[in-house]
Formats: sequence, structure tokens, C-alpha cells
Amino acid sequence: MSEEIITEEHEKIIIPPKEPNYCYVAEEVTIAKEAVEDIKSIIADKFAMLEYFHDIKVAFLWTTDKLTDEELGKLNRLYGFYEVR
Amino acid sequence: MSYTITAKMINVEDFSEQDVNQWAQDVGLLKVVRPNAVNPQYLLLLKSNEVIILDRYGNKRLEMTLDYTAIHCAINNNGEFAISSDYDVYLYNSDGSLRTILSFGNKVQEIYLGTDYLTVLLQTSPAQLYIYKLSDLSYSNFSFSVNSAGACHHTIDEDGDHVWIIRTSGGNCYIALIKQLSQQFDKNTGKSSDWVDAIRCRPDGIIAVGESHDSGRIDIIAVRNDGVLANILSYSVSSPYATNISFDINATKIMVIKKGSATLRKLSLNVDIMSLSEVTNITLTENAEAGGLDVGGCNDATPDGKYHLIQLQTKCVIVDYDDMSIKKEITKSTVDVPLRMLAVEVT
Repeated sequence: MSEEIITEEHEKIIIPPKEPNYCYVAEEVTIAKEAVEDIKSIIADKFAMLEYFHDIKVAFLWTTDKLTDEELGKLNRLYGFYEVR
Repeated sequence: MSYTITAKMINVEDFSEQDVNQWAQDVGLLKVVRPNAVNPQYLLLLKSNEVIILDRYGNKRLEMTLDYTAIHCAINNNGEFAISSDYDVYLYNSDGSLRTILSFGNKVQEIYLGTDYLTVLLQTSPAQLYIYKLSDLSYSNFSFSVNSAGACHHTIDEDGDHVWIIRTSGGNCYIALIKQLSQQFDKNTGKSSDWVDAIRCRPDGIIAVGESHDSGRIDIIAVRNDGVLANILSYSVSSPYATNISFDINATKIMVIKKGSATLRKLSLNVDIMSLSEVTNITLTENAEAGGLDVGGCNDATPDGKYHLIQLQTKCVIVDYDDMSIKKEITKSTVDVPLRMLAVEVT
């Protein structure tokens, strides 16, 4: 059987990584799937990474830029996040 | 659509087969993975909303419904497993209880799980690789320049302390090794590259074999953990396309086949002098599955490398490495169905 001709085009795509630069923590918290989406929507493009440890109910939120007082205030009120210093 | 997934127990003495634990699926099977282990214990079967774990005898150990759309999966030899959706990675204990959710701001491209480390490659440019220690889930991240988001792949050894990365950067193919969270090298292979599609390593992480391609050429690249590169095997092809690679636990008995091609190549690697050579090749009766860019057919080999499982368009074949004879044909009715095999000693 001869080689089958298949063309494979690779479009050049640049997607800048969201670097985790700032860290916030929440303790005694339950993060469900909906909460992850809610947190993302509150901080929009600043979202880099969320680590939720299910067994000890601790969440670490990493952001690309420092959160504003308003953003952190909302996250603190809803989930108890505070800044790690 | 409903079809049947069958685990087959194949006796390599007479190549008789026996169906194990057959069940019907109503949604396509996305992936089948096994640990990259000397003595792998589990198979993980992933549907978009369900995960099934089989032990090495084909018995169902765990069946779990997911409340998210799964895309990637990984399992280690302790039975712990990880599933990812577009942006999230769910890490589970071996009993199926959720341990951790990792949510990222970029799309997850690949995940692997060793007995000590979890790795997450994000589809970004530059590529971002996160390596988590399973003991405390602390992480280290690494960045690699790439020509385009997605032009990077990685793999890990059994415990995950060797992480191999292949990528296309600046028009060339690079291979890097991170050992115990420390980057050992990042080598330009000197081969022009349009895209990379695969890298696999030995269970001990000492040797990796990868594939890169460029216009009209495919390159098979073997590297040792001290950074010594074997001579690169280049093939002129009518069209470059992803190549499936399978080898034994010593990475000495290698077979490669380009997706969409019928030419199965038998390679031999001398790891002492890092000499990679093509011993022979055969033309199969039909082409290997073309699949998509990174999906579809994948090959596998027994730990001793004697038998290689090759996925073709309408069947899977087991090829004897020594004489390149077809020992077994297994008909399948679905294209791009993933498959893996585990070696089992039955006494």
C-alpha cells in the first residue's frame, strides 16, 4: 500500500501564558465547580491558577496582577480569600 | 450510538484470545492510558463523562461518572489518576475520592501522573509546564519558547522525576530534560522542525525517543539522560505527519509508523553508544490510522519489546519484532479508537 497523501497545516498561534505572580489563600472553604467559574469571572484576565485541596478545604488563588481592593473584598466576602504576604 | 468495548486477553504462546469484561458504551471512548511503568498495573478508559479503571487482568476496579467534560487523563502505578477538562485538572486518590482541583487560566494540553509527580502542560506560547509534587502538591513551573502554542509535548517516567519535553522553536526541534525539578539540558537537535508530535521515554526515564517533522521529512530522535543524542533517523515522506512510536522498557527495540502510512519500520537503539538504526521495514496490508493531529491510533509494546501492537484503519495487528511477522489481527469497527496493552503473567 502506498503512502497516503495527507497535508497537515500548522497555523501559528500565540497564546501568552498567565503567570502566577500573586497568591491569595482561603481556609475552611468548599470550592465547587460553579465557585471556580465565579472566582474566574470576578478577577477576569488576572486569573492564573486556582489550587483547591479537597481534603483540607484550603484554596490557593494565583493571579497575574495584584487584585484591586474591590476584587479582593468580593473574594474575601464570598470565599474568605486573603493575601499571602 | 452504542458500541462495545472489549478488553482482550491474548495468549502469546498460541495467540488465542479471550474477551474479558465486555460492556457497552453509549458515548465514544476518548482515551485509554496506562502507567509508564516496568510492570504496569492499570488501564484507565476515559469517556467524556465517565472514567473506568481496569486492573491488569481486565477486572473493573472503579467506574465513576464525571460532572464535567473530560479531555485528558493519566494514571500512575499506584492507581491514583488525574482527569482534565479544558482548563481544570482533577486529581483523584486510587479509591476515586477527589484530592485536588487545579484550575488554570490557560488551556490544558497534556497531563501525566507518576507515582511522585503530576505534570501539566499548558497550551501557550511560550509553553508552560507545571510539575506538582504529589506529597505536598507544591509546584514548580517551567517555560519553553515555541513557534506556536501546541508545538510542544512532554512525557514522564514511572515516578515522574524525569520529565522530557520536545518542542519546535525557532524552526528547530529541541529536547529538554527536567530531573527532580532541575533542568538538566535543553538541546537543539539541529533538525529543522515545523511541528513535533510525540515523545516517549523508558519507565526509568533514562532514554527518550521523539518525533519531529518538517516539509517532506520525518525525524526520529533518541536522547539519553546525560544529553547524548543518537544519530537522527530522517525519512523523506510525501507529507510529514505524526508518527507513532513504541518500544520495550529498555528502548532498544523500537517500531515507528507514520499515521496514514503502511510502512512499519523496525529500529534498533544501542544505548551505550547511542546508535539508532533502521533494521528493516515492512509494508502492511493497510495504512495506520491517520487520526487527527494528536489523536487517534497509538501503538504499544510488551515490556520485552518482542510484540508491538500497531493500530491500522480497520484492525489492530500484533507484530513480532524479531521477524516482523504478523502474529495476530484483531478487527475493530470504529476508527481512531485508542488502545493499549498490558503484559500479564498467568501461572
